[in-house]
Amino acid sequence: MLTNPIKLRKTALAILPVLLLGVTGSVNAYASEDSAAVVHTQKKNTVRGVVTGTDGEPLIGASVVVKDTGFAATTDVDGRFSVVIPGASAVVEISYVGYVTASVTAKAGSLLDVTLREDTQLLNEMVVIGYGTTTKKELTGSVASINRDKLQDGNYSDPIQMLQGQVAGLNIVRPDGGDPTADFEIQLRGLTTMQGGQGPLIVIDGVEGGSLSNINPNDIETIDVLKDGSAAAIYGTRGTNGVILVTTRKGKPGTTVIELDTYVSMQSVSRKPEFMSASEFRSALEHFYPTQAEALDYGDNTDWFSEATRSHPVTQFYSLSASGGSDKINYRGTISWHDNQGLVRKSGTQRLRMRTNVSQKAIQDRLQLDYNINYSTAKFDFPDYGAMKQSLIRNPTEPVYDTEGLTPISGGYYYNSAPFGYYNPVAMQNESKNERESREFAASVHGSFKIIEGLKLNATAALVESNSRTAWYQTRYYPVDFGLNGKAEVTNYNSRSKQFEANADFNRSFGQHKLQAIAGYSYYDFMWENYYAMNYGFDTDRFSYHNMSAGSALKQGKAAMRSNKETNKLVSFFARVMYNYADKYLLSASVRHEGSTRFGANNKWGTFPAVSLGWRINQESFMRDIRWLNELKLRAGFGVTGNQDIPNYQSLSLLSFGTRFLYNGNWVSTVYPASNPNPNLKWERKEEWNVGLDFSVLDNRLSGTFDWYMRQTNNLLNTYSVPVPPNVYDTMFANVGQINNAGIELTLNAIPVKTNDFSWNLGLTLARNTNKLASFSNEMYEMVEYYTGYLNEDLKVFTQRIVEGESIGQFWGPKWLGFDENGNNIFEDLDGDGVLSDGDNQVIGNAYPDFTFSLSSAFRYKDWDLSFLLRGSVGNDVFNMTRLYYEGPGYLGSYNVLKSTMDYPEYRGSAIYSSRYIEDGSYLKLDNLTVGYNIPVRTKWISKLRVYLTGQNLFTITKYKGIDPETHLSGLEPGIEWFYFYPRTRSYLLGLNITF
Amino acid sequence: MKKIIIAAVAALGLGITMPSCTDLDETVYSKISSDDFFNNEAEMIMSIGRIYDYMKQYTHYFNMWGANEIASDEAICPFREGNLWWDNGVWVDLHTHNFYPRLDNYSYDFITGGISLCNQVLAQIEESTFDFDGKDALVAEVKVMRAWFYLNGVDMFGSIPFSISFYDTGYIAQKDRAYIFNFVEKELLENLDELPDKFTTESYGRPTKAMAYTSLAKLYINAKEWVGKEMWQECIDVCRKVRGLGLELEPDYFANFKVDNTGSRENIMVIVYDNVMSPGGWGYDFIFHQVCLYTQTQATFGIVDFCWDGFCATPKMYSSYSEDDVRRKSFLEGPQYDKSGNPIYYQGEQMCYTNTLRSLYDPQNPAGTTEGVRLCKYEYEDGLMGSMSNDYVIYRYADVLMMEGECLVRFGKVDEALPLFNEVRRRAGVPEYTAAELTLDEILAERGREFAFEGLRRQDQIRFGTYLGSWDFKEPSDETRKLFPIPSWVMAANPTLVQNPGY
Repeated sequence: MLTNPIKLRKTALAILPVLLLGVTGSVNAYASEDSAAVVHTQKKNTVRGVVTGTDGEPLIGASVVVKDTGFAATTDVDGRFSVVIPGASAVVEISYVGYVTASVTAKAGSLLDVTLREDTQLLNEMVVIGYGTTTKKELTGSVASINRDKLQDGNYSDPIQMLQGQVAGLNIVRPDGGDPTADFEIQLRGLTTMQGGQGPLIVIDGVEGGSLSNINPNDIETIDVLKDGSAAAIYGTRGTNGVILVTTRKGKPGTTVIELDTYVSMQSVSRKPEFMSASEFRSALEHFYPTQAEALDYGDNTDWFSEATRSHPVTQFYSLSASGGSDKINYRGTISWHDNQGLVRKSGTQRLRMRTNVSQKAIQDRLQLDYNINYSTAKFDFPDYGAMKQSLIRNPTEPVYDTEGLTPISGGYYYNSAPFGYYNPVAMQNESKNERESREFAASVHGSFKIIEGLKLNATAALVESNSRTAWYQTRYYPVDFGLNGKAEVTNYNSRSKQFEANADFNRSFGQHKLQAIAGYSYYDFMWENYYAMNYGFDTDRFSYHNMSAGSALKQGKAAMRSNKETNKLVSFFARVMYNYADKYLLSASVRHEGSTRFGANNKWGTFPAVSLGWRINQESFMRDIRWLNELKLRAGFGVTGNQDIPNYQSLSLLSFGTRFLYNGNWVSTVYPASNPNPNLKWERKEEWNVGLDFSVLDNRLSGTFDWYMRQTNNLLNTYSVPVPPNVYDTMFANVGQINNAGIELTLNAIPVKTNDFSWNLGLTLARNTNKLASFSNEMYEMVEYYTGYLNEDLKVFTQRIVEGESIGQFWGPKWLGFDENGNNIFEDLDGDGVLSDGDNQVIGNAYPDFTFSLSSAFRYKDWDLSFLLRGSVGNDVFNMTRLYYEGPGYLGSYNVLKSTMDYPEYRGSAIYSSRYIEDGSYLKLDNLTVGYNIPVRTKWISKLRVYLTGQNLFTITKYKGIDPETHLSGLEPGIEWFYFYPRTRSYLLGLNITF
Repeated sequence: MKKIIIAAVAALGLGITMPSCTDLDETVYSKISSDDFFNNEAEMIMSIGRIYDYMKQYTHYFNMWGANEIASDEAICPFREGNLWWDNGVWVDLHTHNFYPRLDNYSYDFITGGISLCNQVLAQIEESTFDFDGKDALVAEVKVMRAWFYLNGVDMFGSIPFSISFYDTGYIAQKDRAYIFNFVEKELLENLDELPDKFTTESYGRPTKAMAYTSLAKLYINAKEWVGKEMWQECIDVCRKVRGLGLELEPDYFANFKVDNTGSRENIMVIVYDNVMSPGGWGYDFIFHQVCLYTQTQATFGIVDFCWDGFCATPKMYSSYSEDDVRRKSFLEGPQYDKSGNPIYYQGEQMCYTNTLRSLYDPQNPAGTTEGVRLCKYEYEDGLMGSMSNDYVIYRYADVLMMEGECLVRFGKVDEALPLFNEVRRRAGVPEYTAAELTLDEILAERGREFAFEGLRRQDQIRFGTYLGSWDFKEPSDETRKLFPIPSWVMAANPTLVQNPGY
């Protein structure tokens, strides 16, 4: 055997990875003996055999174990083994990574011929691609598929958070710290638009228009993210920012399965701005303003931050689901309750979510009907961000309450009217409420009818209705407006979306050729309306906002009332063809012809084509002999998508009613133009090239994906100043510019160890994106530079500048060089004029990271599991606004300032925006650490009982001195940490899953 | 089987051909499409109202009033303790005449925007096909307002882009000061006949003959400064025309500035504000209380809004009042009390506005919170929140009297001028002038006292030649400072413009 050169190569290649990865099984002394030579004589009580794969090739190094004994062996280079068994017969288990384990009862002295089947789950894993599914093997676009096994346990205010760190190139950020009522910002592959919507399209079970926050995390089966243009083009004018397809869990025919999931979680503050304590404040005053130190010392010792927050808010979650049924009709229903308390006082959410999925077959199983009905309600208590800022800047020597009754107007809270914009935060929180109750009802019916073998007709009808009531009430003692005597504001909001889709789906194989085609029609209609009322001057606070007419402002004509309504529609025709030749050459081409009411009369319709190719290189004959290579696929795709997420009616010439003026002794309304007409208004058009490589080696122990992409958004929409005349209105919303993004993404999965008892999975993602605003002017509309990030309070400067040819997110200001001998600032004098002026401004930082990465790891040992997720970003700059205003003596006295002010005792200047406050925000975070234990159960009632402990946001390693370097990434002002903030929190959670 | 396929395809096809399936017209609920509007008189009038709504921006501190006040010697907005009013240095620069094109002030946009608005409204009226009785009067009204905007442009910027048609496209060319001056004169003279004489219930808040003549008077009296031509006689003639229209001085000086000053017989042109009927929002509200007062003065008047402790009178200005001058009460000075008469406390002692100022801009020694006397000429309503409802006075009869008197003095006819000035002096409770006392310097000083904080001081100082001198915290400035620079954002949008000299 060793004389055969082909086998020699095979041997070398086979043994090498075996040695590297240390596939052990239970290697023992017998193995080395057996692998070296063929056994010619039969021993008593031995079992011999050959192990091969389905293609007939021997499997080298497969593990052969005699169950419940210590006897084991591994197969040699010919796939042969010999193992001793106690007694006359025993159960022998043969396993090999990437293959399904075989279990054989063998008699002593027998010769086994074992064929192991490839565990093709990896390659045959289904991936949802929009209007259908395909296998991972046949995929030609860039799609990331996350199964629920990869989603970490934890407390999530919005299920989208579970995707953090899971998909290379998908950045999910919650800039508002631990606020349970706050939204997440989602950005895929860089900023592709300036004025259009920036979030990806979210499709839940084929229905667009529902909200992900209304989904119980336990109900999610898979989340598929369509990343590149060729995959997302099938969604036409909504696919530019990527498409996130969520599939919920369906019923499984068979015995009824009941699941109970519950957890309780506690938060504590992880980081907050460090303002001075009372004693530090006193000594700072002595240092900077000794003459005023006594007047500004009110004698008390208050930790305002603690007064405004809860020390350890508790969250609870309960979810109960039942699924079962028969092959003909099966169901899954869940109900869950989530009470998420926030760290800041009077902030939190409570959610009740109910969902039912029913699947039914009829007409000899030709017709399949799926019904999804969900209903969810939520109650929000919104935190007062202004109160949080007040809790930082408030003089720590002031008491919370006015115990001496000095200011009856303030209702018992200490009131100091001297400083500007200065209010008692405890009073703000106690004397106001800001709450919302909302409900969403989403129902859909999907029908799929098999006409003939390979041809199906599908139709979906869906309805999503949501409404909410948001209310604000402030009592007479709310410190911002003493004299109003109570104010109430109520907004009622309704929306309804209707969706109808129909398509024909063809799927047939002819020998080596496999063809899949769909063609369809989609209709989407959305309406929203709101009603608002405001009144003040209530003589009593008892009514809160439940008796709006009781306020005196109504009689004086000073109450307010408003209502609005808007609708929009989307109509499209689409088709896609996927061709697979011999599982080796793959082609996919799609086109969507879509029209939206939002565009100008001349451009309502658009066409979005896409094409992508795939080449499974490992299927080629010249690659066949490379045993360690399981999969190597080269992909290339090109697709065009659009963005119609702009406000309605932008192309029309509209008039608005303004305030009134006095004419002939009467107050008459004024009417004025609200917009310029633009019948040429069209969608932004993004063209994207994507080249990718998927690979899997060493028996699928190491697999990964590498993508390179380049995306160009043309017809960029922006608001341009236009001269009046000849226009009627001074701005025009027009398609002018171009934004480019390019980058790379790498995803690696490794299984370094896998045995019966112990396994270790490792995942790594890495992404880098570069952004450039290629142009935003043309012959008709001109914009040279665009300033954003305006500091409205006192400083009145812009912090960022957007200019053609550069990236967005650039900080623009003077460069700080240090302090001089007197403790004053020195700035780089770029224009050499000797003073600090606009000519000294330069690029002083960029909010976008050089790259982002994540590392996830999951260990399993018998019934224990441990997993963690690390996530990081390198090279992003953050503007620390709190330090700009409050690190220095400028506001000291009227306000409290940061402790770090005393690091510069010589500095007595005022706040000047410069690179001094632009910090390196690179970070590494431990997002999640979970330890779980599957309690072994002996009863037939319970099939699974797992208890787990999770820590979230456990630590952050960063040089950034503010609260959290993970700030806004979306929008035109990324990277700014505003001083209206919600503290970041750490949570500790204890959870339980029981399956009956 | 075939039937099923046919049926399915037919259903699909039928669905697609239904018109609603591909209809993409927008339905608008909360706004109006401009194609359906301006078809009758009422709608025309609603369109004209835009001009008066637009005027409300005049009093904003980043707009016309703010620029004219701080650049003069009567008002100042110092950098105060607590890091207040830095605003990137705009108040320091305005006060020291350190003007530059990036200066944060919107007077230029106000003037040219007003002109453009008038052109647009005129185009709408002239294009409408139907006729009605008041149409000519409406056209005259709009033209007079447009001329008034150009008058302000001549005063503050000299030569500005000139256009009288909404359909002028491309870059609008500048015309020089003299050309626009002549246009304003011609336009006012040609259109004032259609206007009512003075304010009545019907015409309140809108142009009248009195307003047109007063604007002409402003044009003529400054003619020497603006176009190098002495037109004192023309000024006297126009002022006499105004005097024939039945206006009179209100016996109570402050009656012109009350919350409800619609009944004033002295006001000639006002900007109408009303807290309830036409609240404006940022930039359109009348908020002197917030701009001038320190917030504890809320208690003095019952003001609800938080006040920002900004503008105050320069010590020089306030010192020019004698003790018995009624007009001295235009400012809050000395110990302050609340509505019930109790003292208001600040930092442990009774709060006192003092007529002193430590500095204009000195972070180590900023101006004190209660330094500088504060405007209370316009009555502050109890419960004031949002915009003041007083109508802001642009022109009033006292000015007409004093302008006529000034021109007579320039001709040397002091005796003819005396009764005019003394009517104003009597009302102010101060001794009447004798012929020897009535010099040009004295006229400038008296105008300062009479029209404090009414937006006229800068123009008067230029005319009398004191604008370039020095006063509290200001050094002498250059001749070119008599004109403001054209803003940099305007220069960038129109490359054909030529900047004013010295910038």
